[in-house]
Amino acid sequence: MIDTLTQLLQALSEWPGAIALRRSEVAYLLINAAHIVSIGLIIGAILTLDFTILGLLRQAPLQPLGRPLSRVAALGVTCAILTGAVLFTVRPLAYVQNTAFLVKVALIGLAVANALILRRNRHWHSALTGGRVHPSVRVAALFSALLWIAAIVAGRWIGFL
Amino acid sequence: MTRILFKRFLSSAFLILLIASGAAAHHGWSWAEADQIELKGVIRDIFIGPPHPTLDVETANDGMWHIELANPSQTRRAGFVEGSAKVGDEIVALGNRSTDPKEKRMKAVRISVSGKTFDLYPERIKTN
Repeated sequence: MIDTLTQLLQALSEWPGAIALRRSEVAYLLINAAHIVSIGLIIGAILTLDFTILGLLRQAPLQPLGRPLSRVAALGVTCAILTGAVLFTVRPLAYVQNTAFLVKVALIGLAVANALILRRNRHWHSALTGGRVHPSVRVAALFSALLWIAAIVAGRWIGFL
Repeated sequence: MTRILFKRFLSSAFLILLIASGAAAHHGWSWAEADQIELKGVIRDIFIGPPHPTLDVETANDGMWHIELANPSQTRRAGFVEGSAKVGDEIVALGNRSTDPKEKRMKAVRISVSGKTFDLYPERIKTN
C-alpha cells in the first residue's frame, strides 16, 4: 500500500512538467506567483464575505455582495488547487511527509466542505436575497474565516519543517 | 460587546499570522547558528530544484543530516548542478547548523564532493 503510493508519487515527480519546473526557476516562480494570486482572490473575497455575513461590515449588504464574492472565492479556490497541484509534483514525496502540508490540505478540505454545506442550506439562499441571516449561516461564516486563515498559516509552515 | 471581542480576536489572529509568516523564513539565516561547523558523511538523497535544493547526508556518528543549499540560481552559479554529485558520494559540508540543538539541519556555505569544492555563499565562508 505504502509502496504503491511511493511509486505513484515517484512517477508523478517524473512527469515532464515537474522536470521542467525543477530545471526552470522562472517557470516555477511564475506558477508560484499564480498560486499566490489565487490565494489572494480566496482570502480577499472570502473574508469580505464572512465579515459581511457576521455583520462586521455594516455598509456592505449581502444582497448584492454575496453572490459575486462567493464566485470570486470559488474561482480562487479552483486556481489555487490547480497551481498547487502543479507545484506539488516538483517534490511530491517530500510534501506528503511534511506534517504542515498534510494539515494544510485537511484544513482546505474542511473549508471547502463548509462552503459546500452552506450552499445546500436554504437559509443561505434567503440571506443572499436580502432575507434575515440565520445563526447557522453566521456559524458557517465564522468557521470559514478561521479555516482559511488556519490554512494560510499551515501553508507558510511547510517551509519550516 | 461580542462584536468588539470578535473584532479584537480577528485582529490578533492577523497579527499572529504576520509574525509567523515573516519571522523565521528558512530562506534566511535567522534559524541558523552564527558559528560554522564541518560535517562529513555520505550523500543519501539529492534534490536539485526550487524552492530549495537540499541534500540528506548520513554521518558516521551523528545519523542523518538535512543540508540546505543556496537558492536554485545561486547553487547553479556555484557550479553545483544535476550530476555534480550522486547518492553514495562522500561529502564534506561547511555551514551553519540550526539554533535548535536537537535539529540535524544545516545551511551550507561550502560543500566538497569527490575532490571538487562548491562555494555556495563565498562571502559567508569563515576560514581560520
